[in-house]
Amino acid sequence: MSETRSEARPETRSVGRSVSRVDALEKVLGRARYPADFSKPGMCHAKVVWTGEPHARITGLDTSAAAALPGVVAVLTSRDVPRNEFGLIESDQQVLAADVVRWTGEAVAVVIAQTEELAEQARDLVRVTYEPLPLVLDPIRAMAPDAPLIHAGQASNVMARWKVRHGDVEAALAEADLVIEAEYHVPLVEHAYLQPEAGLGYIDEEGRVTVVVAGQWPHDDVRQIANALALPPERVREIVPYIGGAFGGREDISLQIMVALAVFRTQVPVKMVWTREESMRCHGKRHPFTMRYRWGAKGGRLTAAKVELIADAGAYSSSSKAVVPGAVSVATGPYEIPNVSIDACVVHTNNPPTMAMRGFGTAQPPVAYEQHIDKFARALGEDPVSFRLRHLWDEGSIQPTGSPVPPGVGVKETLRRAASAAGWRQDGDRWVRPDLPPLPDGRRRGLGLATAFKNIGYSFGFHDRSTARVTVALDERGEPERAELFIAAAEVGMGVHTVLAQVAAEGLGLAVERVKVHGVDTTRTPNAGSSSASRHTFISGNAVMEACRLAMAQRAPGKRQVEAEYTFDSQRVRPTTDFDPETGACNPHITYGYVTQAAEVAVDPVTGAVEVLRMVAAQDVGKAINPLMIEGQVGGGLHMGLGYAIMEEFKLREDGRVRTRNFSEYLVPTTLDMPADLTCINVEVPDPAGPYGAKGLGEHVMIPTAPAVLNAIRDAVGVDVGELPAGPERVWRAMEAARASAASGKGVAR
Amino acid sequence: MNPFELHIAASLPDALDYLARYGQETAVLAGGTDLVIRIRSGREIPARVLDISRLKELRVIREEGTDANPAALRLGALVTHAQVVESAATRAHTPLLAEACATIGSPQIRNLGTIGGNCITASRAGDALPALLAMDAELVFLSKAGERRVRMADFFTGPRTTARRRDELLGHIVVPARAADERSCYLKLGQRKALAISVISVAFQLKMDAAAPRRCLTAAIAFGNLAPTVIRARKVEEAVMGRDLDEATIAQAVEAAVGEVSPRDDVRASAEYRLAMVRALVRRGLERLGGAAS
Repeated sequence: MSETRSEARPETRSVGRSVSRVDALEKVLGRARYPADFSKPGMCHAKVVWTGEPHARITGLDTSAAAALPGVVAVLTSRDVPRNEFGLIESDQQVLAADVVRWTGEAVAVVIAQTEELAEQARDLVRVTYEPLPLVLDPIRAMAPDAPLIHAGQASNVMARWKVRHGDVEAALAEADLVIEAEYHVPLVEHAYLQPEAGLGYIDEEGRVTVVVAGQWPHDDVRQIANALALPPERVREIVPYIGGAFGGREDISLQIMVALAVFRTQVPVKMVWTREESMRCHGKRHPFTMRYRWGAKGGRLTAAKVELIADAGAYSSSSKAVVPGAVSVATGPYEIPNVSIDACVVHTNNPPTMAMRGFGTAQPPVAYEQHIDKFARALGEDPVSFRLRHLWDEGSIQPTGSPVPPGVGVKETLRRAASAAGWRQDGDRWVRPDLPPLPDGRRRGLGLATAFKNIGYSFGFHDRSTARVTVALDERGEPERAELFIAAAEVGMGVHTVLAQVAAEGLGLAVERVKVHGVDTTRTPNAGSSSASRHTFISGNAVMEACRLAMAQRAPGKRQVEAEYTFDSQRVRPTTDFDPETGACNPHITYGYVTQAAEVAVDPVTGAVEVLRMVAAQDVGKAINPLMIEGQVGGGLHMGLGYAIMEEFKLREDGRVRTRNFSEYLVPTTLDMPADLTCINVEVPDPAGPYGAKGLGEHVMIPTAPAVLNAIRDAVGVDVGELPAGPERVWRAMEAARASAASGKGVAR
Repeated sequence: MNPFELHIAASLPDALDYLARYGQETAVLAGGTDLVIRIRSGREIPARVLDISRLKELRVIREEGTDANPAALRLGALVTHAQVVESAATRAHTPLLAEACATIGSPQIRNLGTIGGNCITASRAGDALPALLAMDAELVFLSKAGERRVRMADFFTGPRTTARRRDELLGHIVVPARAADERSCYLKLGQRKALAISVISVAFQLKMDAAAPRRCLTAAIAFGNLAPTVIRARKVEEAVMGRDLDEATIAQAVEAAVGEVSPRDDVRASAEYRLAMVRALVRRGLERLGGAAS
């Protein structure tokens, strides 16, 4: 990356410095251990019998042949699960399917054997018979009153609805002199983390059912394991070593309960490792959305935004009731629009359950609103930067939910900085885009940008809590010598342990190397909430900062050690509230981070192939605690956003079975697909409630990427691609449609 | 993964002995970039695997004929794609093949995967194959019975099936050198820049008239992933041979291409898109090679 601009403040010693990650050496030397690296003497191996059926009733389950195989220790079915349920918000999933399976990734049985090969052999001997049930794969069709119900007993496949009413959108649309309407669609997407699910379970020295797994919220995993095993939570322990990526995909239970159950039933150590194919088929995905946008402007200013969002929940509820509200709250972007109406719903189908994934509902709407904003700018003959700047939020702007934006609004600055770096120049109030020299090979060059935002922390009245405990060793003079930090913040690769070490070092006046961050163990490290919602820097950072302050306050002559524990609770600092059911009025979020990204692309006008040549990312992070790690996050975010833009789609066949079974069929960008020219710009508009002003950025940095690329494609070849991914065939189809339309005299294109 | 017996060939005669005895139930391992994946996924369940990767004599690129102006290159079956891309001999004398091999897999795959393996795998989308087919390469098979030569044009007998006998080992590939008046290019449409199985690919090698620079004297054109096997586009070749590569000729060639192919729908692209793209790439290749300079 060619540029990082970040103003390190002189008054901080650790915060704001690009210190080496605390886990860098271990990872580089290959010493860092991930769940599949753990073993125990005498351990058995477990394999899962997956249904493979997208919707069916189990009519027979014969485990006798498997159980009879020498070396098989146990074959577990639903009858072996004390309380056969789990789920992040509602316990609507079965640990092992008892009766009906609703998507292809449900587990029916777990086979435990002395070797992995035997477990595989025995797994293949389990016989399951099914009676097929009617399939519902299309969420729009699933909403029809006569659609087959995914969950018998529910009134409809529509899980939940939300609405926001702000001003009078119909009147404003009627008065508008420009109305633009379009429908956008984003697909099912896979998290594509490096490390497939794996776990080791055993009974620990105190008789606790213990699992070593990659979980994003260790204490909530324990809650769900204990519930399923009908054990008190203190009889269950989760240890989280290093995690090979998560992106939300480890927020739900995957194999945690199955491994715990295997240990609970056999009382021997049990290891389970999924293949890539199992991982891709059997964990949830990003929500597909259909997004209908009808916006109006009058006198060159946006006056009305009417939005309809339909999200596919897949077979089970997971966190859909939290993800879709996230989408609702950002549906009209960080823009001042006086009249807003938003309707949203989330619908059950026989698709994989959709769940948390980087953005948590805020990654889908920008694909719509940022293309829509460009359409208005184009129709009004105004530069997209100038048009955005006239509408973007300032301090105190009012959100569609009626509440003011939380303080620390750096969104305009992200746009100015990104646009300047991408070549725009300012001419008074007007912004002028650069002229791009043509490419020598006949491909068309295009430039686009997009601005977006996301909340940090849990929302809608949820208490976002994190508990940190710090012990500080003091020297003879009572000055800190070294510190140990206990906090169950799962390190999924984003660098939370380093950030928290920096915050502690700053608070204690220590060098970062003098702070030891203990690994996550639910019996030793206190609950820090999930590694999600871009929340640890802000929420856990505050917890650590205050714990350090409390520890320092306990210093007294002769004392050689002080210790303090502190629970930060967002509701005491920046309370949020849930939607009013009629108007949607609420104070939705704790705080926001803002991002603008620009993309320069080359599009082959014949094949539709898109190459991204250059990207600029400017993010308002409040305070850059570790600028180098931000560059890492930005690189990863652009990579994931680029995949979302032009490549990634988890495809199912018409019969509901998975078509993209592994990484040769589900394509993510390779290193060679990444532009060599990446510019990373940190904007620091502090949030007074954040530690040292910091907000968060983990998710934000992938959110505007896809719409920036789509706007660049539009700029290059003059067609809107309303559906992701904009792969060669889809871009080609859009160009063909425009050519056909131009030929028939209707005139579309540029 | 199903168990199999692994035999590591100590010498070429040892390998041929092994195949003479167990050829029917043996899969031959060269770079392993395809075979290992197929075994792991259960798509191939060989009882025996013969590892030939240590046979150094099969890793050599040799020029046949005069030094200054070789008639052909003889590529050992174990020559890697990276070797083909980087070797001065292949770049100078078989540039079409070098261009095609540069699109295979990723840098890592090209370091391991072999030209012989690409032939034996015989995928409809194998990226070296349209180039070898267009260049009229010959495959040299070795067995205890001796040597047998098979023209690329006779090699593919169906999807992933070939004219190789089970007791035979692919020893070498003889690729005629491109003449000074020939021009070539390889056009591949993939979904990304590496590790992309061809959506379609087209290999061109044309001999142009020195006196009339747009006049095509002979043409060899081959298609990848447009039929059950890699195929020669004979009707396209006929449409351009002896003609000036002007708009009328190119339009005819494009129409002829449509009649040659049987594209399919799969996870990567629709048949409709493939059909549109074969037209586009045939046009692009002919326009590029028919221009004043190659």
